[in-house]
Amino acid sequence: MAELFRNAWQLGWLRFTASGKLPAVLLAALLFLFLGGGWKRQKAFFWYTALSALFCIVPVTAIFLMLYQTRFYDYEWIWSMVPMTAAAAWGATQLLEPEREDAPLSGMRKRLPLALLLLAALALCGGPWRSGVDRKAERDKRQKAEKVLSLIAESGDEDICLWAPREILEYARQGASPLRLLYGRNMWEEALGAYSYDVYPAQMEELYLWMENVQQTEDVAQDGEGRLADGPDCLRAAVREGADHILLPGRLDAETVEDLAAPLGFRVARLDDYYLLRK
Amino acid sequence: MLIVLVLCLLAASWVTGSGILCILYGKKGREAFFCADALLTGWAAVVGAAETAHILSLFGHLSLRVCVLLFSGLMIFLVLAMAAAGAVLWRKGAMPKRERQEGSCDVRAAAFLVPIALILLQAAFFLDVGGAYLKGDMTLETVVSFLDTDGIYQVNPLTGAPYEAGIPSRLKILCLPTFYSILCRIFSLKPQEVVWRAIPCVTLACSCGAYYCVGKTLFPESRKRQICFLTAAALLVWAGSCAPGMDGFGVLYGGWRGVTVRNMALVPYLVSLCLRRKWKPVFLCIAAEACLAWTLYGAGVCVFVAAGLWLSRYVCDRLEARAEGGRQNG
Repeated sequence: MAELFRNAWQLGWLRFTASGKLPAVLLAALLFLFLGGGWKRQKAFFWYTALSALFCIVPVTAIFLMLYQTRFYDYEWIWSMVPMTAAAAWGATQLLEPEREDAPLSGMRKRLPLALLLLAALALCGGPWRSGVDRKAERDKRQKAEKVLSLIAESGDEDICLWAPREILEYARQGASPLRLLYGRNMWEEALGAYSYDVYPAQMEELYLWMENVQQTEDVAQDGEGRLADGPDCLRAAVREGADHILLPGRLDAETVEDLAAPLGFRVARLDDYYLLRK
Repeated sequence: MLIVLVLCLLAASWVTGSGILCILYGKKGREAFFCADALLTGWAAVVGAAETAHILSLFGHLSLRVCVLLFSGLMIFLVLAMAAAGAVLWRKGAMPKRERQEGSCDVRAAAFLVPIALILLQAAFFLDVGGAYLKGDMTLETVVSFLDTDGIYQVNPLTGAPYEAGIPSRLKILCLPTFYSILCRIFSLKPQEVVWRAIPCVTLACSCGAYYCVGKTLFPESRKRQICFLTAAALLVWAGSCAPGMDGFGVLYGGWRGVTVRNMALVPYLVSLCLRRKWKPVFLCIAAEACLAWTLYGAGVCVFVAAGLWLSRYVCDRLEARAEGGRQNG
């Protein structure tokens, strides 16, 4: 019960309102419609929106809504049941285009500054600049990864099973000729775990931690959690799991890479900013 | 070819939807609907056709190639049948007179440019940013794996290895990855082009249609207020692009996702239907959601919204009737 309450309040409502203020815009619109009498135009719509918003905010009712929508979804998706955009737009229209010609805010002279003020307030409530999505960085990452993946695909080998740093694996199954991978995005994106009953063996997670640690620190003798991990053993384990193409960061010492490849009988080739080890 | 795909989907949806509304309501009833109603009703029918082809292929262990043929056959039948039904039923009566609304044509046309410009900016935004936010979504990988294996859920889309324990049934029955794979095959487009560019355009068009219906329902007497409503809605979509889960974020960063189609097209359309007391197409919306997004055995957001609006309307009508009765007695 405590966990449900935490999901509905701390990880739910508080986090939902931290990044944007649209729920506040909705509540302001509903208040305006109520006080201005505009709600009488569509009473059923008004009361449904008001009550559903209230149910989403109050933790007890929010818990029931979250259970109804199933644990597949997080808190923010219960707001799908609230017609936020439609109701807020209704309120804005009632304010800017009042029904009566003799209403206090009728006339272009009053409406234009009001419209600009509302626009400024809306911009403060949210926008793409607050989404945290860096389009350029994402595009650059993708292009770099696609370049490396196309070089691997051009190697002429068939039925490749790739083990590589996360920044490459993230895009390896999105191109027209997808490669088989040792593990996919669900290794580091927990939400994707809900799409399948398959789970990775514990050893796979160790391989992931080792590879990410090598990518960040160039230390082949440890995994990311400070445990001693024999580099050659990790590679042997990966090969046992089916990997036949291994990509290592290009910043590693060439001799270190040769020492890793030798026990497996793999060849080493330079591929852009990486070393490619393959049979 | 991208534009052809988008136009074909919209046209097929509109023709199918017009026929369905004529069948459900007859010619007289059809006049009570807007053009956008036909688009959205038809879109729900297209999703239904995709779902039928998907289920038959999934449980019949058919290849994607056969699934494409199934879907194409269903769509051709649906479009032709609904077009014929619509034409026959429409011919049975005289053309209706359209009521003139306030304001001159030129002013109304010019005012419409504002929301249209905002919507075109949204389209330009996601055409540029396509695929920038993929957290929690694996639609593209799924489509790619369907095309690569010429089958449905043959391998785990994230690794390319065969499934060991399988996937939840409630996920398996959702038709969107199959639908997108079919479109890739029919129009010979890359998966990224269909998933990240074409489908968000269709979602945006359906969303515009849905909010147009809401605007016309809330303000039937004034075109100026409808335009103001559409402009406000378009601006709120921009403002809502700040966080996942918000309407605007879905449209601008994930227009291909089932939850986005539900939130931005089905739910607002459902709201307008409930407010107009047009209950038959409501069931189409509920069924469409069950095909697009994970629901509690079919009971999703659309069921909740429809039930909530129905209950709200029922209570308001009863209270009004009681107040009216009290006034008459007084």
